[in-house]
Amino acid sequence: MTNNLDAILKELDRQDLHAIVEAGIPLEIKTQIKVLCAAYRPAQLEAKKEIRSAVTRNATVVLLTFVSAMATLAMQEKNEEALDLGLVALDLSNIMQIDFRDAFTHVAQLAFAAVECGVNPAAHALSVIPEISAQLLEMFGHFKPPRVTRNSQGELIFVKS
Amino acid sequence: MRGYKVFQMTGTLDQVAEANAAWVQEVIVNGEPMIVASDLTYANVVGSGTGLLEEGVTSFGGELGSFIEAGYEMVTVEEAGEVLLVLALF
Repeated sequence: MTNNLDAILKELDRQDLHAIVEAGIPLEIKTQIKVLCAAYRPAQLEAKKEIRSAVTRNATVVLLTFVSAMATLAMQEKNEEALDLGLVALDLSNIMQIDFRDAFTHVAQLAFAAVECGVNPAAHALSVIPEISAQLLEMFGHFKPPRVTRNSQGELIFVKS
Repeated sequence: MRGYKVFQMTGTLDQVAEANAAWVQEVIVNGEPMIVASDLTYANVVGSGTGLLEEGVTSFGGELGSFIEAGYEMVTVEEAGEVLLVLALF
């Protein structure tokens, strides 16, 4: 893993989680996560494992918040690039290994956004995450539609639990 | 420590949520002690707030809340040289 990726992961670990979850991810951190995802997605399996092993529990929370932000953007703008970033960040987050129960909401948001983008959720997840686990693939195949509402600008947003 | 159970299952969100809630209820009804296997950090208890049992916390955080609401207390127990965090009724 390069020093740059290591530095990004350390930066994610240092984030104020309460502020991130309540107010969203600062733009500069979003930019760093996009760099991380761009490096992670085409990496070989061993390299991916090495990167994931450096993701701390705090970094997982930041990545999952990023997943929700990308799913929202994908849903609003039918933006497949945002959808793919969300899928990569979900894989990178390690949440399936930490507690798969906490992945359902994020999977549902991404799957719903995939439908809005006009793609099949499970098939698209498999194309972005070729090594996806059978359990995660099943979650994409049988997702429960998330609750959606509109903000004051009339944009679709996911209802925050 | 004897008598602890680990919740394990797969399925759809509704199936897992229902089974998880039933599992917590069973433990509470039976008054069984529980080993707390995760650290009590913000990331583990609150996380991104997408747990199955309670809004705004992780699934682990929701379980903790259910046990504490049912009167469980958290104590440390030393067993075979290892310090365990245990939820139990007293």
